[in-house]
Amino acid sequence: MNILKASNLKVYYSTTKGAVRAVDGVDFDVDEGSSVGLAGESGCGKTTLGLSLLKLLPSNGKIEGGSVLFKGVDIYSLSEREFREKIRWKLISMVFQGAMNALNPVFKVEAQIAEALMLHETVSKKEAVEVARDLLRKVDIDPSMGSQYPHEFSGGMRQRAMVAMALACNPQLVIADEPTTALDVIVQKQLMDLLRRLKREMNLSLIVISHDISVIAELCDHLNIMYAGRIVERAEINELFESPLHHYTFGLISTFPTVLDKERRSKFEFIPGAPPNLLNPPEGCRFHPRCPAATEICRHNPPPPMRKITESHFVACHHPRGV
Amino acid sequence: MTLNREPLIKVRDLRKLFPLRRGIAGSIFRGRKDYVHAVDGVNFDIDKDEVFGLVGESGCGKTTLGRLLIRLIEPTSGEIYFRGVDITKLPGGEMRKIRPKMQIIFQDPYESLNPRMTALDLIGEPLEVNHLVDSDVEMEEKVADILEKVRMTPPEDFMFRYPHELSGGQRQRIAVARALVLHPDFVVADEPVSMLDTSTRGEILNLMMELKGLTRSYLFITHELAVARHFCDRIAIMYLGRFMEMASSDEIVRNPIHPYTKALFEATPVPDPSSRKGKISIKGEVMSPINPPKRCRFYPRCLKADEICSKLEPKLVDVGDGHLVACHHI
Repeated sequence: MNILKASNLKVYYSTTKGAVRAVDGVDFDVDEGSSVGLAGESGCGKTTLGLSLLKLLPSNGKIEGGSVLFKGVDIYSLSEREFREKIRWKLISMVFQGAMNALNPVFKVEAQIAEALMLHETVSKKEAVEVARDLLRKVDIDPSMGSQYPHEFSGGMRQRAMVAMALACNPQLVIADEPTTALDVIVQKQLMDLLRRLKREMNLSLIVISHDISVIAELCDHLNIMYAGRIVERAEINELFESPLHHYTFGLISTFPTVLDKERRSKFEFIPGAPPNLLNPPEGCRFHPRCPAATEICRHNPPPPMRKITESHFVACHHPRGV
Repeated sequence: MTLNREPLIKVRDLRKLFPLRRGIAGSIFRGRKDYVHAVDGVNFDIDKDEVFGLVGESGCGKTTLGRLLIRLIEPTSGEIYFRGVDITKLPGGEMRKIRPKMQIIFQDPYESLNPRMTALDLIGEPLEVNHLVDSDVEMEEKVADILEKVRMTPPEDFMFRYPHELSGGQRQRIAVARALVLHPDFVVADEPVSMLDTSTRGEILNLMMELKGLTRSYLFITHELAVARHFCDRIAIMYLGRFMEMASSDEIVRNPIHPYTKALFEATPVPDPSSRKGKISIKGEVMSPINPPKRCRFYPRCLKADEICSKLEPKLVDVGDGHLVACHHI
């Protein structure tokens, strides 16, 4: 059962040089209670996709087309006020990227969490602060520390405070945007354990956005690979890592060195070139300039649509690996 | 290991304490000064042609140690020998003669390159400062040569570009070229790929490997065990200013001994969902490096810790084949 279903979603940024097509026709769904990953290089549109689900795009960003259904309700058809009162934070919330800077340095941590609550529910300030302390306890922070300022928190604690803030209104779906980037590995591991536990205890559905597929491998049941504004492959997580079909996915997975290798690698894998400029993406398949398997058809024919290969594996490629 | 050969770099009892700034009231009412013990007594050698990895979490002192080794900052105490000469005692003029032999690649190519300088100026500057070229033509030739070596071809296309006209990976290649153009003996690479997308990191790492012919040894600083495991010959695990464990990278992967090293391995995510890991055996967070008490640095977070750990700081001891561990419970 889908909790969220986005169809043909398009989000463009208007710039002086033209429209940047950051999200360009994306179909994306999240099953209730599942944890879905969204991975790709920086600038591929994954954060834009996350922000568009909450209608929190920067002022030059615009949803140009497509629909998003939350439990069957088209949330884009709601008025701005209805969206704020019923959807944002109440049903869908977000842990923003960059915990180091996402908190306001001049307010106490508990006051910032309480504010998120007060904006969306009718509660007194006193009650809101009570709830904020409960939330801090839930994310393993001593509630008495709520009266401290963000600079008194370590990086890991700040990120957990951001998680607490996302949980303020008991949402059903949480979007975690690069939740562990810039954290040290041990703190990162602790945060992943926390997210897993909260998901179970609070019956959450989760979207995890990350450039680090090893983080997604630890956290998610399904994975969407995004490249240049489009989703190029989607599969159940084990299937995707065992038999990646898109050459980009294969490249991404093999560029990750692993500590488990018993033998030392003498060479590191990499994907040559750089992601395209989304002002003017290449014709044909957008990955063709970097793809080892590209042929004439990839250079000229319109980008391939998603094809179903197995029950839980979809790919958008003219020449999928091993098919 | 090295019996009669002199190592390229030899570090003995190196310490760097940063005094903590205090308010007026603090200086009047408290006699004792507080120090951040960034590097607190480390000993190691780096051989010729060796890639030595320094792995640790942020704040463990790895960048400070890297900067000490090429004397960008002065140590509080201890010795650093470069080809048998203690550089900590060298007067400025003598040091300046050695500087071209020791170079550094910084972490962030968006910050470390002057935005007003072209690739030619950036790479040519070290040649000019060290009087290694006589004319502009010679400089251009040398810069073109190194640009080709870092795969920015044809060099004429890149020589007159400014950093903002280059991608992150290309900028970092300029930083590599800038360090290697002097054919140094020793290069400190401080997290050279951590700002880059994982898809392009491999390119820079391969390049640094291939260009080993232009240098001799690297000190490779990273917080990523997985990268160090493949890039380095030997790895030291650093925690709060001290080495916890040091061994060849193969040995440290196959046989990690220190509880902190084990925790690092347990915490490092693997790009393979079938090998998801359970809870890690470590508690709490990194404690403050200000005036650490005389005990094992890892004591407050260690699940194996007992009384002796709270009283005595363990020494780094050889458990065989150059595998050194600082733990009371080996």
